[in-house]
Amino acid sequence: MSATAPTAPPRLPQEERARGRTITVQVLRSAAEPRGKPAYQAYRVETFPRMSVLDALFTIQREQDRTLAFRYSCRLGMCGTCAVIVNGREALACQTQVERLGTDQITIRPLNYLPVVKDLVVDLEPFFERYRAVKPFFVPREEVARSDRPQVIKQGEGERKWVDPALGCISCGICFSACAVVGLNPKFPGPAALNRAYTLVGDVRDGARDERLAAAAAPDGVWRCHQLFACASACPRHLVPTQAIRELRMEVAEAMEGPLVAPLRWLMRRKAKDDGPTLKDEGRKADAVQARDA
Amino acid sequence: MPFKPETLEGLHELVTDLLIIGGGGAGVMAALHACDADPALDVTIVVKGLVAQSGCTRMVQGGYNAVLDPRDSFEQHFADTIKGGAFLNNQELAWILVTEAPVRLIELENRYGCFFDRRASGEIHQKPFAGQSFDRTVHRGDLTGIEIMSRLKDQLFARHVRRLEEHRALELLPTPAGDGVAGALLLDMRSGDFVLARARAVLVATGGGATMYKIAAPSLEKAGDGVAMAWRAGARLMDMEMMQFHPTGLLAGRSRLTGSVLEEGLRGAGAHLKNGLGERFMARYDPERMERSTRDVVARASYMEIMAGRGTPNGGVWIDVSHLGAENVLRQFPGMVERCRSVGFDLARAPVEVSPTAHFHMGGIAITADCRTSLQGLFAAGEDAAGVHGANRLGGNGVAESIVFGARSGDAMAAYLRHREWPDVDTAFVQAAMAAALAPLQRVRGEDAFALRERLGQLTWEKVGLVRDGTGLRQALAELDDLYERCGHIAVHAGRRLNAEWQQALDVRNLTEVARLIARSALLRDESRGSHYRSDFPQPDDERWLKNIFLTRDTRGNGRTDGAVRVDVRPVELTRLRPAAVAAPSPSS
Repeated sequence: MSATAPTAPPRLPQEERARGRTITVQVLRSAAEPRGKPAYQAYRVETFPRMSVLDALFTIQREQDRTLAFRYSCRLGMCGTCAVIVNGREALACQTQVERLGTDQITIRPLNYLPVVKDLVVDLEPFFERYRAVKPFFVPREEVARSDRPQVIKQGEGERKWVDPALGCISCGICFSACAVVGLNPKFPGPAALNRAYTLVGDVRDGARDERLAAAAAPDGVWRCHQLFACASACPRHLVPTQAIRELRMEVAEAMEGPLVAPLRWLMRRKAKDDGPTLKDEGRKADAVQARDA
Repeated sequence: MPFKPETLEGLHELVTDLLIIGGGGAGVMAALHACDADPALDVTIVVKGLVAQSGCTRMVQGGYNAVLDPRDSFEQHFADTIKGGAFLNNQELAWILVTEAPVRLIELENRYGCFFDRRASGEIHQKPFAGQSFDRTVHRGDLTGIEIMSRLKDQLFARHVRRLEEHRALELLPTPAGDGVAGALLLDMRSGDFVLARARAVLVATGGGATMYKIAAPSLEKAGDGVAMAWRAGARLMDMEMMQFHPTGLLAGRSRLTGSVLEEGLRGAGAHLKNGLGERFMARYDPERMERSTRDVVARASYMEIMAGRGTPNGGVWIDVSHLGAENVLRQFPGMVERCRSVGFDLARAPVEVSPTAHFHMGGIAITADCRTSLQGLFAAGEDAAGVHGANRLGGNGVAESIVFGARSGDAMAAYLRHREWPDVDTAFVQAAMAAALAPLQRVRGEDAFALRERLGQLTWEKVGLVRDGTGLRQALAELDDLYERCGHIAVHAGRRLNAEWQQALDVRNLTEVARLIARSALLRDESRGSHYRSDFPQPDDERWLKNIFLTRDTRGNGRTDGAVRVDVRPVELTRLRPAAVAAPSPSS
């Protein structure tokens, strides 16, 4: 320190004095040579308070094994690039506290159904390839594109009531990895893609509704979902793609034509009744109540 | 000299009209605008992480400042920006920011499909931010960046834009004459192969080097690459001493979460900051605006409390929003509550320990209104560019800058490319740059890249940080020169594929390069202004220092050796607003 700048007090934060436990972290490493088999490598790591799985990986890389490869950027759960499988469950490494895993044995492997670049780093291109299948980009209706003002749209009413909670996807690929259908059917767009389609179908500003519904209605589209909620239980942003897919099915059915459609709609409505009201029903009910009260 | 790729081993060649280095808000907006202005252009985005996912626009919490309300005005937003910047801003650039921010915001909604939070009436909601005379910050909850970058990424899928992800630019390619740029030498971080990207125009939009400090907020991959490369190529830099520290970085011990920002809106909403004794210390530093004072003032006040021994147990201060009511906090700041909860703090009900954290570099590459730099064919936008924010940036003006100037650069480059020929590449330079990049892999023994990075963090935090002085800066310069020298002796383990140690070696060199320029410029400015505070010159000195400091490397000879630094100090052009015309700071509404 220089003579005039104030000197920092000795930095001995209380909590860092506490000694951590030693845990075992097993990481699935890719083979050094092409076509070699991946294998788990075990590291002993001393924990510190608030250590995330990402922190554990950084510790291993810094102190034990510089060759370890993993992906990260924001370390706040916003970029969605550090998704891995921790003790059998998909998770963002940065949002997973070692302490809360409740075990001294941690196993980390790369996401399913995606080619591994190295160790925990996967190539997300297949995920985005399927994402593109639903035409995920907003296409403004003509009057919206021409407008020089933001659209006046009430939040929490009408379509926004069910679209807004479905926004906020961070493209981490976790639902893709957690979905068995993604693994079985290479043409199934996957939860994130269909969730995106759903938010656009419900966006009154969007002008490509028919194309998106057509993509969702394709033979390998919404009908392939098994409604297991694996995507929802894994989503780090607490989205529920299963629900989005179910409601997208209703939209698809309503847009369909032909002799078999009427019984199908009847079946779906009955099924929906059994499953309880959908988000959209709730929204409509609320709107109706508001309209009545007003 | 005509370029012959076969003369260079292990090198792929890419020919693209427009090379965009950086995949955050500025880079992606530039790509969209360039493509839409001229769909025939071949456009490439190069990004160290994943497009629209890594980088800092994605991490924007609070929001985007735009004048939308009829009761607000461009003049007010402009005056706030200039006052916030302590009159060091390039006023024409700041005026562009203010006047184009609403246009681009509406474009984000009506063309790209973003949806920002609404008032009950269905119009866009705008919230208060510190240092502003009107509630003009547009947001989506407290995680605005996700909405913006996700929708921009979707739009890329509607256009033909080449994405080179997990590629980093190593050097800008000089033209043989040395007055321009002809592309960049890239490294495919996945394979470890080099890519020679020839381009008619290059945009540098990598984001700044705040990550050089021990406690820092930005995404972890950022390393001041853009400014470092532009400097080496001979571009003119401006106001390098101006580095912003955000007052409320989370303290989470050794976790990498430490330094991440708890958003500005908390102070806007009425958060209290207290020192270890429980005092609302801002009363001593800015009794009028208190916690809603600008970032520079609040961050420095916190730092001084901590240094005076009045800090919290872990060396910070407390941020307390519990008096706003837990339900209110949970509703307004769900993202911040969750972030705190993930590391065991209850933001809604109890104080949380925070520290100033290195956040944003106002200084950088000098640009024109069209984002041109001093080099032919080289453009800059976003945090890599300087001038918009002066000596301190207002919260909510950062993402606005990236979007506004990203779009502007895209339009300007498309126009520029109508006349720009293919420039020649200096082959000898490419060979030397490849050799330099490979050197750490070839050394058996040498310096440890991670250890040097930690040393840099400590050194910059102590001597080039929130409180600076002449003696410390001179020591810092000597130590940084030494560190830079040691960066030339780093050895890393073999293997080019996703070699984090090798990438760290390249990062620490760039960061040290930028740190030297910050220290040099900070030593020149013997006054205090905005984010730059000199304890040996604690007052602003408008007589001597209403001036911008420009630095340029002497590139004669085009070698990679350290050229002499040319310093050029020029009065700020007060084209629209003069200090005397500004009233006393008004409390934000």
